[in-house]
Order: sequence, then structure tokens, then C-alpha cells
Amino acid sequence: MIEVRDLAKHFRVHRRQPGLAASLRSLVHREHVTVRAVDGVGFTIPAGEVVGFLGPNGAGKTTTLKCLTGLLHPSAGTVRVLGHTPHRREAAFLRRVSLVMGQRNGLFWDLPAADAFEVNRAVYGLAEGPYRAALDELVDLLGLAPLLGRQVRVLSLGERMRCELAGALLHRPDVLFLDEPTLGLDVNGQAAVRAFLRDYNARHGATVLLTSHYMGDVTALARRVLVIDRGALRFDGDLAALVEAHSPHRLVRVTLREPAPAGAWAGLGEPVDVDGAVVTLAVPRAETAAVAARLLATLPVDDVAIGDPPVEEIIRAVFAGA
Amino acid sequence: MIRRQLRVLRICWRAAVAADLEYRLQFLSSAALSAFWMVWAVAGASVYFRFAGSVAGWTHGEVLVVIGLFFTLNGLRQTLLQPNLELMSDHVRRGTLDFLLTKPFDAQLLVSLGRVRVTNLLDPALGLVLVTVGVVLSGRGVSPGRLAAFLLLLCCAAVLLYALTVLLMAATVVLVAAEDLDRVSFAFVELSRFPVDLYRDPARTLLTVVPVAFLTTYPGAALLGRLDAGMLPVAVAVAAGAVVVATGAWRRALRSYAGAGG
Repeated sequence: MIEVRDLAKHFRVHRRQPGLAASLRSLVHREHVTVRAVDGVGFTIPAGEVVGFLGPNGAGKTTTLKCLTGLLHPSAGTVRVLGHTPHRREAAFLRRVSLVMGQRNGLFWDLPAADAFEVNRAVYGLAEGPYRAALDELVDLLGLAPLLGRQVRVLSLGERMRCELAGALLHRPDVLFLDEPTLGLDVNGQAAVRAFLRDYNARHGATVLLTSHYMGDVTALARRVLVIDRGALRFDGDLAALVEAHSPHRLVRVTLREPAPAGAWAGLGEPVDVDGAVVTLAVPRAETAAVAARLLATLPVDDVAIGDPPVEEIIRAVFAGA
Repeated sequence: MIRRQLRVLRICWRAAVAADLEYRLQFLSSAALSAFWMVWAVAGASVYFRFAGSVAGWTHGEVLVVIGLFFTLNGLRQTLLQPNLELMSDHVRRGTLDFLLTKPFDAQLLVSLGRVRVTNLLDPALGLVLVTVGVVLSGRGVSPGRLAAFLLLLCCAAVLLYALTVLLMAATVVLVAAEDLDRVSFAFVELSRFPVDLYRDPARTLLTVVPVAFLTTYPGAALLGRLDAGMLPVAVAVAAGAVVVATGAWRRALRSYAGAGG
């Protein structure tokens, strides 16, 4: 479905030192440097899988995504999506993929949403029947009925994003590339988009590659994650495995009937948060069960909950150690 | 394929026309301005012909034909090409060109003709009226052969302008910050306001090569029966060549396109 081997994308960019003198110098003598935005990335994604693509700003996520959608020509390596070479931009390929980018408008800005969808229908050459079926489904799932007659430019960010998703999915793409689809949305908006994407994937078996700064998007949608940093792939596997590999501790949250006496946590774990009678301990992963049993036996415990640290922290740890 | 392209353009144009018509005052002021500039241009040209029956071999009526063609072409430029060129810069800076390039559709067509601005549509209409007045004043009459040659050359002129627009769009992709490129297309058309014979050499030769003469001078001369028929295939070749060069430049620009951000 998606096969990427030794993908590299290098940009030659003009480098200029700060200051007026440097600006004048750069008029006659330009200094260029090569930026290795992506350097030797490889992975395979089978049909129907939802994969989260993680990395800090400038890691190479969007560059990789642009190589996969055919917007950029790779400097080296091979990319195959649905059996096509994306940068050739063959119509047969483009008809089966879709790109959604948060806070960027893919629909025609000046048109009412219904007309903007009509443009997409004409662009993809959709027959009336399949188009109507897809539109009705998307209008229903995304609650678009009240928005259809309004110009795209006057919609709120959340409304526009819902319309963007509908516009991008009218032709029922087999592969969906999502770049920060919930960027700037409020909590409700994010939840609506996540629920929709999960539902869409379940209904149509579309392959989804998702980049997001919101870990909530990734944990809600993807079991597998690719972690990229400085143009190289750092991790490719289950989100759960990533958590286990990069978080030697689990968090044990203890609720006591009364505040604990001084020194009560010695030998149990490190208190990372103390809020009255509620204490969160970082405990070595292998000792979690034994520590929980000792807590219950030695302290007046009301409740014990065991969990993993937030994924954001784990990702930070991955990048810090990279 | 062509039906699909026309359908997309029809939807886009319909919406653009509807949006333009909402601004009635702008529509009316634009019409008034069109009429004013035309009267101003005609009055300016008339000053020269108070003192001479012809200038560089062109009579008053003949010059009015060329001025009329200038308004026709400039109106077409403002209606069809300028709004798309303005939008192109936005597409590149805001990254929305990415979306156009990931659709199974000719992105060149969509970015170059997807938007239309009808507030300047009076210019081509007034221009053609002035062409008619000029032909009558010149007393040369019109034959079907001349009319056919004129229409062919007018199409070639429109194609030349289109090619220039695509070339400027390719430049926008490469340069990114290129909001003012529309002025280049305006300057190109502006040079065709008078017959190129009115300029001295080497300007005249330059304007023939560039090829400003193909915009108004040659179509006007064809209508007036003063153009060598051998220029017809030359004009077609120049227009076709311009499209090939512009399309090549567009494709080359897309190869170097890095997109906005990320």
C-alpha cells in the first residue's frame, strides 16, 4: 500500500548572516547550505492501517508527507503508494488519495460549501449516484446540513475543518494523509474530528497516515506510530511498545484516607505529585504490582490506580535521548 | 476530459460572478472608470490628429482601432488573468497550491483561469465599440477575409497574454514573494496602446520581437487590410510557441516547488 525505502529530500537554501552588511554581501555572494529535511527514511504501511507520524517541528514529517502525496520529488530513495510513484502525479493515483492540512484551505474559499463540494465532484469526475451517497453520509456524520449554503470563508475554524474533511473524502480515497487535522480546534472540535476519522476508517478501511502535535489524536486513532527526528526514523512500532521502551516507570496514584506520615514512601517509589491525600508515585515498571500490594498492606489506602505517564512525556524522552 | 474541465470552470466562474454582482457600487464605479479612461485615451490621441492627417502612416480612425483593441485586451486581462495572478501568490504563500496539485485535474488550468472578475467586463465591450468606430472613420470597410484574419490574430493575442500569465505564475512558484508580478502583465499590455510603428527603432523592433506588436498592432492592421497575409502563420506560431514555453516553465517551476512551511 505505502512503501518508502531510503527516502531522502534535501533542500539547497540560501544562508545569510544577520545585519545590513551581511545583507549587502549576500547580494553579490550567496552562500548556500544543504538542509537534509529527510535522510534515509523507510517504512511500509499495509492497507487499512492508521499510523501516527510523530516528531518535533522541523523533524521531516511534512516533507515526508509531501513526498508521499507527490508534491515533492525525492532527492533519493523510492516511494510507492498504491503501486504508483507519487511525484509523477498520475490521475489514477491522485483519484485514490487525499490530503488534509489543518488551518489550510483546500476548498474554494469564495464558494458556499455545497458549491465547493460540486467543484470537487467535477474535479474527481464523480457520477451523481456515488457522489450523492458519499455526500449524504458525510453530511450526516459531520453534521454539515446547516453549513452547506454558507460561504467557506465565513465558517468558523471547526466548521471549516469539518467541511474540509468532507471535501477531501467525497471521492472515497483509499489513502488519507492528514497533517495536523485538529490544529487550532477546541476540545469539542478535536473530539468530533477524531470520532469521525475513527468511524470513517472502520467503515471504509482507508489507510491513514496522521501527523499531529496533539497526542490525543494519535492515541485515539493509531496503534502504530512512526517517530521521526532530524530527518531520520527513530521508532516504528506499537504505541504501547514505545511507551514501554521509553518509560522505565509507571505511575501509581494512591488516595489515602488521611495524609501519609513523613517517610512513608521510602522504598516504594518517587513521589512526583502530592496533592493532600492523593499522591502519585513513579515506580519501576517491574516492581509496580509488588509496590501496589505493599501500599495496600502498610497504608490506609482508599484507592490505587496504575497507569503510564502521558505519551507527550514519553515522546519528549524519545527526542531527548535521540 | 474537456467537459470535466469546462464544468469545473463553469462552477468557479458562476460563483465569482455572483460574488462580484453583490458589490453593486463597485460594479458601477468600475464601469464609470472604464468609460472615463476610454474617453481620456481617445481625446489624447485626437490631439495629434488635429495637426496631421496621419502619424507614422496611421490615420486617426486606424489608431482608434488599435486603442479599441488595447481596451479589449486589457479588459480581458483584468477579467480573466489578473484575478488569477493575484490569487496565485496567495496559493504559494498560504500553501493552498498543495491542494490543487494533489487533485486529478490540470492545476495549470485551475490556477490560471479558475477565477473571473466581471467588474471590468465593460472594457472589452467598449473596446470593440471603439474598434467599430475606428473602422468606420478609416473608411476602409471590412471584408469577410479581413474579419477572419482579425479574429484569428485576436485569438493569438489572447493566447499570448495567457502564456505570459502562466509564465508569471511559474515565476511566483519559484520566487514565492511575487505579489507585484501582475504589473509586468499590465506593462506588457500597456505598451500595445498605440501601433508599434509610432515608436522609433530600436524600440519598434524590440516591441515586435517581445512580441507586443502581436497584441493590437497586427490584429488592427489585419482588420484594416494593411497586414501582409504572411504574418498570419507567424502569429499562430508565436502564440503556440509562447504557450509551449510557458507550460514548460510552469512544469519546471513545479519540480522545484517546495511548498509553504514544513
